[in-house]
Amino acid sequence: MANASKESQYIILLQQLEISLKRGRYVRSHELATRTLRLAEKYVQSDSWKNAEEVMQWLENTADRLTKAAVSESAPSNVLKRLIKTVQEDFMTRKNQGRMHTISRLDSDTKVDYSEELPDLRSDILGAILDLSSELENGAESIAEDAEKHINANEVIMTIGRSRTVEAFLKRAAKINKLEVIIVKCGPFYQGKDLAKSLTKSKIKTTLINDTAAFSMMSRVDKIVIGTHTVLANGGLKAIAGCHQILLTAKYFNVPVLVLAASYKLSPEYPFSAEMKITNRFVSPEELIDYKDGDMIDNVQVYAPVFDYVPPELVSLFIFNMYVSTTLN
Amino acid sequence: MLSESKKSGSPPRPPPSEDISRDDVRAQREAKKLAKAARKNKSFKGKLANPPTSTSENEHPVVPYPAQKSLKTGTTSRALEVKPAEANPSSQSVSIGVSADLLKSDSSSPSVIHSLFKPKKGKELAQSNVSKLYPPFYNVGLKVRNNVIRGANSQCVKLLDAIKDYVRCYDVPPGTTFKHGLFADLEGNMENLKTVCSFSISMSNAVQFLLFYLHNMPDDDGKVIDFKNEILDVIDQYIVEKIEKAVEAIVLYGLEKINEGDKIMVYSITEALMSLLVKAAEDGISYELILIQTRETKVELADVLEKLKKPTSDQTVRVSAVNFSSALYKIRSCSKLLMGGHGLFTNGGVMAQSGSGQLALVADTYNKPVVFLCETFKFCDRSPLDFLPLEEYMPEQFQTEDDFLEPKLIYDVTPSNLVTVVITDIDMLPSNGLAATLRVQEGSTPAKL
Repeated sequence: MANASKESQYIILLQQLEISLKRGRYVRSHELATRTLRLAEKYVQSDSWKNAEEVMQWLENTADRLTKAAVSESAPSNVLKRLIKTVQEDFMTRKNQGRMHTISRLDSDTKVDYSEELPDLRSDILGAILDLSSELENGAESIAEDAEKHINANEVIMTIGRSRTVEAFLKRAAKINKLEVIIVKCGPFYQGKDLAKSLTKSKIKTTLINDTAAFSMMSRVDKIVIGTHTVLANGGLKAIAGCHQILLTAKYFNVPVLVLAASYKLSPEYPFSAEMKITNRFVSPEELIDYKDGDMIDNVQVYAPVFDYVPPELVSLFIFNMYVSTTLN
Repeated sequence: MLSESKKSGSPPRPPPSEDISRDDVRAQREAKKLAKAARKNKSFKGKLANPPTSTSENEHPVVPYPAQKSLKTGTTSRALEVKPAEANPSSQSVSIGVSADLLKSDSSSPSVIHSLFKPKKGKELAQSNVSKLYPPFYNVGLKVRNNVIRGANSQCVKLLDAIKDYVRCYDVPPGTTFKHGLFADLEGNMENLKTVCSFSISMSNAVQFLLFYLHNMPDDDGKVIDFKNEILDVIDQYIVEKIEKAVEAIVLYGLEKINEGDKIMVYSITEALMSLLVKAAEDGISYELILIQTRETKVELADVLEKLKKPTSDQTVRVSAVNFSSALYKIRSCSKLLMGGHGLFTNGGVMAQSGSGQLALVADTYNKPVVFLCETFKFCDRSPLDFLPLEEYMPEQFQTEDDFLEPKLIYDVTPSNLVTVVITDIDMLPSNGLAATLRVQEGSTPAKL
């Protein structure tokens, strides 16, 4: 009975996650990653698998399933793919116990048979999941630890939109140095105001400007610190709409750009095609056009995409939260 | 540490343990007082004023602080100068804690960015002058301020109409000639009007032209009615020549630039730009329009759609609208970027709605031509490098109770290297060449604003 309930537990969690993704109840990537990890944990705890191969198969299938549910959200599949790698490594470690542990190389000749049954694999994987989840929780703080290295006294920092990682970073830096922050509020959500209120509570001098004014203010900015939704495999970013333009302006004025990203944001996805199409999603353009102008809008197409692709050459530095993990390629 | 007592010649010290505790308490009390005072005064001067009082209370001299200075960094030692130096390590730690506190509370140095937006001296709104303002001017001023009259051209025309009204009803005050009286009174009125609403470049140029003309009028006392008619004629001529005909000329030149099947990205909509789009549609050129929208320009989109109603309904012109943040998403598929200008400068910079600099940069990166449409009467003899020297950039700002600044930037300046061509009523020119062309044409240098 206990086994059956454990099995149904993870199935229920998976269904819930899938439904919330499909319905478009988009939440922060962080929450998605946590939920996915919990789901994986439940699966590993249950008895539905016998060997490493089955685990990896399940992980891959689930990753596909969740990606299909919401193409633009890559956090769940990032986490699961990382777990696959972890499982592979744990398997190798267990197998080679006593011998030298080698990280699997691309040119290794031996074909590994993952269907071997290893008794302690379960506890190994559970341990790895625990590590990952603590890494997830402490993501923002560990990134913020680097704050003093990069921000000097009396600097004017510009940030785009609202990112909680950046918020923690700036608050940490403000404890040590005086700094000023310019927040650029970008459509379609215009969340900058919340960030401004939060930063002024921490005694940081804040200015809130429109995205149209970024060009005018750029010459006075010392650094740009932004968060992002995803970091793509070529080093490019999938960030909120408006980032690309503002970072272009930063390049024009030679302002260095720091991107803060937690590990669950790293995706093996490449932007497809020469036109750099990324998996984007569109939201209601109600900010742009009033409903009362409806009859005139018959013949007008209105677009309000949420994400923007930023090519890797516009970013000066990435700051991740990883200190120990070797599982990421 | 022991040299202290020898130097001061103070009474023999009580046993060390009691001494420590008393000093400790005193030091803490002192430190708290100083912190409070520093927070009140918010300046180092205030802190330095305190030491005499504190040292008088405390019998220990301030001697050993050079030794302490070597222990601490430069910033904290400054605060330590003020405190009575204690020989006890415990009280030292107290003073360190307090000095760090003092540093944090020193928020007196103004924010670099906030001070950019402080209203310049003497330009704040003055209520008292409004009563001296001629009512139709006040009318126009309020309408401009509340954005009822939108668009630089219509603002200018409405202002000139109000001036014509003023001139018609003008009575020469005793003791002065018509010319001098009108000049002084008109100038005074315009100054007062500037406190009600901020002048756009078109308005200030028109006023300046008129005052210049008045100044150069012949001095003899002819019939007042003749003078008035002359001035009214001049104003009418200005409106027709510089505004109405200029727009027509721009449209003619601009039509060369709109081809069949073009995809045009449009921002900073002015009357000239609007007329061009309408004319092109009327001429049957089928093009695609991409409007860049921001939260502030919702009304303009409605205007554009209204004017283009017929062409859009029979699909001559296909319109789509994109948020400003996603302009990049669309720029690759466009053939050009078309914007209306509010002002032209000597260094080739073009003033337009805030955000046009950004769009020009984006278009330039993807090698799309950036075309500005601007009438020559909007030429201004200034060379701003960015938006700050412009008086018109920000009529009012907005500071919430939460103490963060949210300035409303209305205009910005696009540097000349990002502008491909400016279409004016004289000719199509690169933006650098405009100043020289105008000077040669008019044979006069416009006065410095």
